[in-house]
Amino acid sequence: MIVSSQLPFAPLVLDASGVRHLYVRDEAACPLPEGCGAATPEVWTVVSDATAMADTGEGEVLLRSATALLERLAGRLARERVGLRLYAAGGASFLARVAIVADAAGLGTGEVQFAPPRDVARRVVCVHCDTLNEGVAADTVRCLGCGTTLFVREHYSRGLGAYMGVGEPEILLQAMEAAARHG
Amino acid sequence: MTVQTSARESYRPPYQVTNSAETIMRFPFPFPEDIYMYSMNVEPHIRSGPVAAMRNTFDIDEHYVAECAEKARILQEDPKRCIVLPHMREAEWDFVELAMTTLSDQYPQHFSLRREGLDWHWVNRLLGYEQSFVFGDAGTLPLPPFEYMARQMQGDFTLHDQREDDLWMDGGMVTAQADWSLKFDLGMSFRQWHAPVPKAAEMGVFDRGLRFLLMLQHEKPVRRLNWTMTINPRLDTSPENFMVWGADRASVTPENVADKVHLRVELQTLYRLPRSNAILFSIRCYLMPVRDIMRVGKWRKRLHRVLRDLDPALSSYKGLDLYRQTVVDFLAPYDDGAPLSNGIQPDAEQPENVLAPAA
Repeated sequence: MIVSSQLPFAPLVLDASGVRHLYVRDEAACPLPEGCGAATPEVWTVVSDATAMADTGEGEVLLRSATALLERLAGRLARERVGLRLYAAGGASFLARVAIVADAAGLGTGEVQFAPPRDVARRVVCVHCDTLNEGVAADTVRCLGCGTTLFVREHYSRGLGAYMGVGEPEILLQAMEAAARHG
Repeated sequence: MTVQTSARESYRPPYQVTNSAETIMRFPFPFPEDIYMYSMNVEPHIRSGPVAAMRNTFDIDEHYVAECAEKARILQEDPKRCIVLPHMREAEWDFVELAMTTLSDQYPQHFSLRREGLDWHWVNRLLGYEQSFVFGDAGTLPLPPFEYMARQMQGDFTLHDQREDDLWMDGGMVTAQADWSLKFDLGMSFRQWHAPVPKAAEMGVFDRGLRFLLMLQHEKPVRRLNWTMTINPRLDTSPENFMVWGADRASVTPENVADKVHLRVELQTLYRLPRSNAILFSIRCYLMPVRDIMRVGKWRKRLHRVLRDLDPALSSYKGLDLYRQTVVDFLAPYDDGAPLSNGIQPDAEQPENVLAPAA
């Protein structure tokens, strides 16, 4: 049973019901989906290198940044027809951004797979001022927009690609500490 | 129900909200038993019920004008409290039709609707609006259809698209919410937007609830009551403004508890919409201070028992931990432990005077 609004992470397995397969990853160390061989996916990889050329001629496509890959992905999905299966692997932030692009293109839940993220750095949106705080590994973060110390709630918005960050008024924190001390 | 035609009340500091005897007696007190735990507690939303607030399709009460004014102010401050995704246009018109036809039928003294084919004429005497428009043509209304009508109604509304055997929160106007955010939950599935609620998922409440709602039929709406507590008569207890109102939870004392602490009840009603096949979720919020609940014997005793024995996980989730014991201690002397009748209906015709009036 799903008790979380988190993305449905699971090890990637090539889906035989697909006609075309596209695998996107934010670093080359991410392994290929299980079952590659029966069918070979197209592979797009972020290499973080300004000299990389996205040559589609042979095999793997190398992209200079995650942003470059996601823009290319949006363009590709806009032209795709039924039968594509998309696989994504990488950091939590990258996967969140892939989900936004895939959802915008109208891919259904059975057409996209997300590998378990290779890091714990989450995106946190400030519910008070809408600023997106990237790469949050701790349970709290000082909002870049309004300076509030945000507590990260275990509530994820697929549409925003981020967890909810909510501040706690100082008086409330002190009162809760005092209550905890006095049992 | 008598409706005040001017907004003297204030749902933000300095707070000024008072409830007449009639409003107290029609309050949808949420506890049919002495103990509370999550349940489906869904019943047909028919035009009868244990209290008057439940006997209309959309309930209008004496706070109508003030609540609509507060809603307009919140939307002015934060336009993201109203978002409707483009594929919900048909559902918007479904909502306009349901709201205008039922309000004009059930409150002819306040609202009227004249229909000649697609040429409609709407009058809202309480807010002083009069509008001719072409049903289905958004360009003939001053605002998008859902926003135009939801601004003229008490409570919050969300629109849910049904696809892939799930319900998706694809629109709404949310200005009087118990700590959840429309802009954050927009586009979420039924289980996703319920994810923060403790215990209920493991009890299977959401799976059963979803299965039930997917089968909801046109013209057979359903309802349930939900509750939490709010400090001060504040409609906008949103996460967006938590830094503004959250500290209130630390302000309750034995001296101010009767006036500060409010039982916040949501009369939740759900409707299948005929053209879009979407579901309209109406969340009508009632705020009643402990002082007014005290005036119905059954309610003050039952509130004492429910709060005293509440599951700690629910108390924490609802944000009651800092003041629950203060409320229980205050109510305890007024509970003789006598057995109470099942159901939420009051045990008297008129409110009694238990406490001296507020200073």
